[in-house]
Amino acid sequence: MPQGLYYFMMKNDQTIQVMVDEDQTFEIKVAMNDIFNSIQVNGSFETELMYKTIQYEQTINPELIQITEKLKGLQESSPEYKTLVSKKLELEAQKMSYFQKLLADHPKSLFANFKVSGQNPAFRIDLPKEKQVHQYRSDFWKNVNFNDRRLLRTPMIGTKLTRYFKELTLQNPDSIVSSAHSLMKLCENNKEYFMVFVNWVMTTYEPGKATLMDAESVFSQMALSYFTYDKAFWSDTTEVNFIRKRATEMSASLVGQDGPNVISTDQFGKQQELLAKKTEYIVVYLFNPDCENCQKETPLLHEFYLKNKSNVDVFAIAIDTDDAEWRDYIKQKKLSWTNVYDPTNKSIYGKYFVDHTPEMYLLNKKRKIIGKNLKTFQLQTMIDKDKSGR
Amino acid sequence: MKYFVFVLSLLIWVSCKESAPKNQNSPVSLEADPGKDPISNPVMGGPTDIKITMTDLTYTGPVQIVGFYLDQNYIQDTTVAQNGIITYKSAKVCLRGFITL
Repeated sequence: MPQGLYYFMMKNDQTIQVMVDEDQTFEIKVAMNDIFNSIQVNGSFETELMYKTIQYEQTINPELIQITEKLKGLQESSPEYKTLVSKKLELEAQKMSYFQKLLADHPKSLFANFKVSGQNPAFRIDLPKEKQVHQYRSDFWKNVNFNDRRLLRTPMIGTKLTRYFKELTLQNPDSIVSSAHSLMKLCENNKEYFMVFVNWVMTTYEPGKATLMDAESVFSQMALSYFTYDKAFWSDTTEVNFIRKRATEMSASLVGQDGPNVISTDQFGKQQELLAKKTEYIVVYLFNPDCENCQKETPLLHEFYLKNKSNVDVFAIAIDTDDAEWRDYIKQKKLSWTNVYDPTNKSIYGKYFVDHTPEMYLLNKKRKIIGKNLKTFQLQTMIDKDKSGR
Repeated sequence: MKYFVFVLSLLIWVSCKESAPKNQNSPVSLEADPGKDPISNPVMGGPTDIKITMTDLTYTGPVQIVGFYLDQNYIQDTTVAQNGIITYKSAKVCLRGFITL
């Protein structure tokens, strides 16, 4: 079987871990009520090393846990806090040197690579506080041996990856993409890591599924950087073309960018220009008369519009419909804002990306996109936030 | 024809043997090109023959062998335990050898 870490799991919830390399013929004797002290491994260097190391860690971990608990209740400026932090760093360094010796003695060992790679970097208390997290994030992958593909078949890489993106990276598109670029640079020559990391970031922050505002920004920047014909070795030309086309479509309407202009025709046959609107804010509303969510959102937005039309205009673009259905919808819902529809889609294509209807963009006075994937109830908050940030 | 089958089998056997060194400190193909589909082409080991004796349990029943990949886990295989003894055997799968041929 593939080299990696495995759990033998029984129906009675008992579990035994084994670490397997190429030699997979071995025997274990163990008392399940005291696994770590009773285990005898015969024939598996990796599993034996794993349990010996767990035994070693048991001599240090209780003290480390105790210190971590004590630190939670102390002021950072207190002398006791500083003493405990020094002690904690000392114990962690002691553990690290033990693991590094394992690796020096057994450089090809899966377990030794697993253990050293899994260690978190030391927290740099010598640095100013504002730089500590940045440094920690920069050092986060430095112990990982990306030349060892077997580590992907342990839980360690996945745990680190989740922590790196979800805990050590601010949850906004630019920070996520910046962290991704730093990581991809470290493993650009390690094909399997490169492939799974690119795909993990793109699926974790997938537009429409991630709760992040403007997940399209993550998707498009990742796709345009890494889904190239030479880098995306796992994809065929058709898939690369499709993903790049989609990313390019998304990239025209990212938060922070200038809102693209749309010139299209209203229900009276008159030309309407989005950026010619004079109100302080413009909502670009892309909807389909037939969609269930649009049926719910349209009346809410229209009510908001009627209350705020002195400073918020709505430019409603109907998509995937036909002329009669669109006109009927306007009449039925008494939509008094600007309505446009282009049956050829030419005036809209590549401007405001829409994956699921309804889609709502908010443009500010400078006609920058300040929000997207919005619901009506969020508009006022976005407007207030924009005003307070001026 | 028999000769052809024999040569083919020999080639497969040699190919498998070369990609799986036995010694723990022998060069493991950690940096080898994993091809277009690395997930289906892992660093293999085996054949697998594992025996686990639980000295204080007489558990008899199914055992799942759970593996990991990145942030997911999956059932690699299943076996059974008899009176507290788990045995698991699996022939080595030499994917790359077959693909190469």
